[in-house]
Amino acid sequence: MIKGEKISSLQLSVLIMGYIFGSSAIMNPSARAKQDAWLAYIIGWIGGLCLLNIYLYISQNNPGKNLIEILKHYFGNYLGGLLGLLYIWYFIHLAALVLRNFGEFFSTNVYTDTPMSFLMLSIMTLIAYLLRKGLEVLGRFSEIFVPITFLQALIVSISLVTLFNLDNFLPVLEFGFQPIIKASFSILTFPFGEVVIFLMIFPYLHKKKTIKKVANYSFLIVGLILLTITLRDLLVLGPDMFARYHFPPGITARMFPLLDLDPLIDNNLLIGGTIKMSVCIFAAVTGITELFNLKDYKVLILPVITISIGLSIWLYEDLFQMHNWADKVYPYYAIPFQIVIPIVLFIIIFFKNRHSNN
Amino acid sequence: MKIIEKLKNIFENNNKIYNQESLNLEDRDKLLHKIKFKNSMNENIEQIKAVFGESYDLNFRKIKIGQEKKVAVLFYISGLVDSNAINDLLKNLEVDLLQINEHLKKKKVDLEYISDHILDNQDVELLDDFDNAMEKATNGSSILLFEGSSFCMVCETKGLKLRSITEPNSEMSIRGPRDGFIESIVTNSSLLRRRIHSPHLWIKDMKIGSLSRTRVAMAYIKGLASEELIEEIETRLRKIDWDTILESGYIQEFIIDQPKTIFPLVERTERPDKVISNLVEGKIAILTDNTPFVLILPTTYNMLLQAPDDYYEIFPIGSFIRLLRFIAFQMSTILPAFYIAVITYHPELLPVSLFLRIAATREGLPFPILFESLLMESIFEVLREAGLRLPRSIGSAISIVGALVLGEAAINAGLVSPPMVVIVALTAIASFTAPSYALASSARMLRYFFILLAGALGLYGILIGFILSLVHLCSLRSFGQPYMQPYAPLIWSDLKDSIVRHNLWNQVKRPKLFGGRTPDRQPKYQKKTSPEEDTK
Repeated sequence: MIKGEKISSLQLSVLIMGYIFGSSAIMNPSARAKQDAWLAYIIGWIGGLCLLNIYLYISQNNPGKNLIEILKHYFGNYLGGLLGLLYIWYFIHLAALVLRNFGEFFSTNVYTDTPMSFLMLSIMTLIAYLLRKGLEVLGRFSEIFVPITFLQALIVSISLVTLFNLDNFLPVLEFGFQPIIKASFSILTFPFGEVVIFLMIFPYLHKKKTIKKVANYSFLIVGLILLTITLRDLLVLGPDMFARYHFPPGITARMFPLLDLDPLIDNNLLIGGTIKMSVCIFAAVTGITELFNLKDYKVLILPVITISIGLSIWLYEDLFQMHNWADKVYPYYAIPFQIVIPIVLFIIIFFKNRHSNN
Repeated sequence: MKIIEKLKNIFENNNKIYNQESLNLEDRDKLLHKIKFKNSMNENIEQIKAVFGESYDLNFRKIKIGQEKKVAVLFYISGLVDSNAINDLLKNLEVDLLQINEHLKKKKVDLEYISDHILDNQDVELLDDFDNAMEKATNGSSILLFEGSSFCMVCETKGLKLRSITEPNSEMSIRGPRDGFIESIVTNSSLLRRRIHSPHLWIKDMKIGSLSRTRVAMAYIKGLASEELIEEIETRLRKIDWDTILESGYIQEFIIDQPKTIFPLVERTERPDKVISNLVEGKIAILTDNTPFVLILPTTYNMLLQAPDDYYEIFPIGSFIRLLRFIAFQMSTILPAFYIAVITYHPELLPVSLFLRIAATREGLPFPILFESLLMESIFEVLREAGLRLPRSIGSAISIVGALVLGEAAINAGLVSPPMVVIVALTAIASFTAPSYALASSARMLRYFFILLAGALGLYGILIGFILSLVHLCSLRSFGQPYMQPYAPLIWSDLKDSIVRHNLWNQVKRPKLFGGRTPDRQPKYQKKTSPEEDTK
């Protein structure tokens, strides 16, 4: 890992929160469960908490090592290196996915005449600048902006209270458990399981002991805020509209009489997206540095960002493909990265620990 | 190098060579270091005349001392010395020597004797370093040369005319002391000493500038300011090798961490109370001779938006004023950009009636709104600069031209829309709330950046600009201290004195990162108790 850069517990916490909040501020996979979305969400959330603790266990048993180093340590140079390479691909791909979400949201909702690639390029330029300044600056930046984002999300939710219609919860479990389980699995892989990327960030934490507390608390807080958003969208839009729209929060914000709260949502997405993409690119770049024993990760920032912009444009034809992918493919695509490899690591570490204790 | 050796040899034989025009400054400097006082007084006078050349303000006063009428010469530069002090000196020399004539017969008269027995109640010093003596002479000391002595006596006769202590024009306050720094470093440090009657206030001086040899001093509270910081600043100051230091701005440019920024990384002030309030937080002040502006370091963004008034008024009022200033300052950077973004891209954000009204005023305007705002902002900047430079007697002319011609006439002629003028005026007024002129200037530059972004991408552009500038601010450091503290990195205890000000009895600790030294500022929570509580 890169020496010298350190982030405080608070900075790690805001990074986790901003990262999870990121694109979930506009997209909600739980919407497939219609009026039971909240139930699906809560199940996914609890599952995410379990995954997070598996990741934390892995990190705590390998203090000061990032994911690539851990993989190399347990699987050997070749297999570990291969898995590391896959993870790097996943991080870059994730950045591209978020970027595409971001571009689609802005070009369908606000800037219908502006080319999407221009919007993407402008945000990526910003991220390149941000990452060149280092992880510390990313941490400090999030410290200022993440609280603002949450405040905005809460303001939007509170100002829409009068439009809440509690009948939208009913009927409970109309379609049985299956859609709920499916939706909760989607929620588990996006956004909660994506926290696996923080295995690349945990080694930079200044006070290693606080890691478990910090990560769990921030996970719970951001989960609560996302729950509010889910409930708000469901209650304001009703199950049908909630499931049908591509970006429910953007529509919800427009429901407010006489005033358009949409820019607040844009703002949230921009900040959350910036943090999420920065973390992805940072993880990819430091991963490459680690894998190939390079000295400085900063030279890699521009190339990796260029790749992710190209990838994000090339990923889908249009918005519908994007949603199809997010609904049907992504949950299965993410399984090896978020669940299988970490659990295998967890089992190996667990038995090694037991062995050494005996 | 051989040439210089030769020159030196020639110089030793004949001082006149020093006057040769072919010698450049560097050679002259080297020669100056090599000159020594000679035994013969006349030769010494020749040497002084040679180094100062054809300067007209040199004075050589011949004095005859004692009954033997031994000749001495007092050399000084007129204008720098106090004539009373010179007269006193001469009187002492002549009268006292006559009175103790008896001694003189027995003992040989020389400079050592004079400094020990005759001028023993005056500030005098014996020096054999010619270069140093000449520097003292240019500082207002007078130099006594004596036949047969290969050294001189430097007498303190400084008497420079100075401006009196007045209220600083650039930093006004309603409540607070009315004194400000002036152009003399000695007076300035006395203004600091007047506020801290303790030997723990250390003021360490040094000379910077190969030609100007300006006196620069670091003031700090020993034991509060962190030792590493003091050392770091001192090494940075000693590294400066520039010929003339005319203002503390020169020093600022040489010692800041990151030159590529538009934000002021060093705070400067004319107010002694502001300097002291920072010193007791563990910061360091740099005083420079010949300028009333004192530098305070390390600087944070938070510091630049604080005014002394905030602390002198009771805390709710202080907090309110500070909050107001904070909002107004942010407004001054993004208000025109926001207007453009809303009108061009997001009219749905405005109430319909307001938007219709604005749209009506924009009917038939020749310029697009982006160009219009750039034009008006630039005109305002020109007006402001002109108002600053022009002689005071025609000051009213510019305000008439600015307000009437550019405001009224431009609207009446249908060149610009009235809301635009309102926005520009609001922005200008808001920008004057920043207590730091340097910060206000950086906001002026940022404004154009935001206007262009808003014109290209609307609110999204403003946000991108906002994030960019914040990332930049977060990456800045002033003498190793994060510029955006206590916001990022967040320091809870320091937030008591940030956007709002908590009451003083609640601020127990000093700011954390500037050394964060104990002791606390006060015993824990000496909370104000009401008389009723006291009697219980």
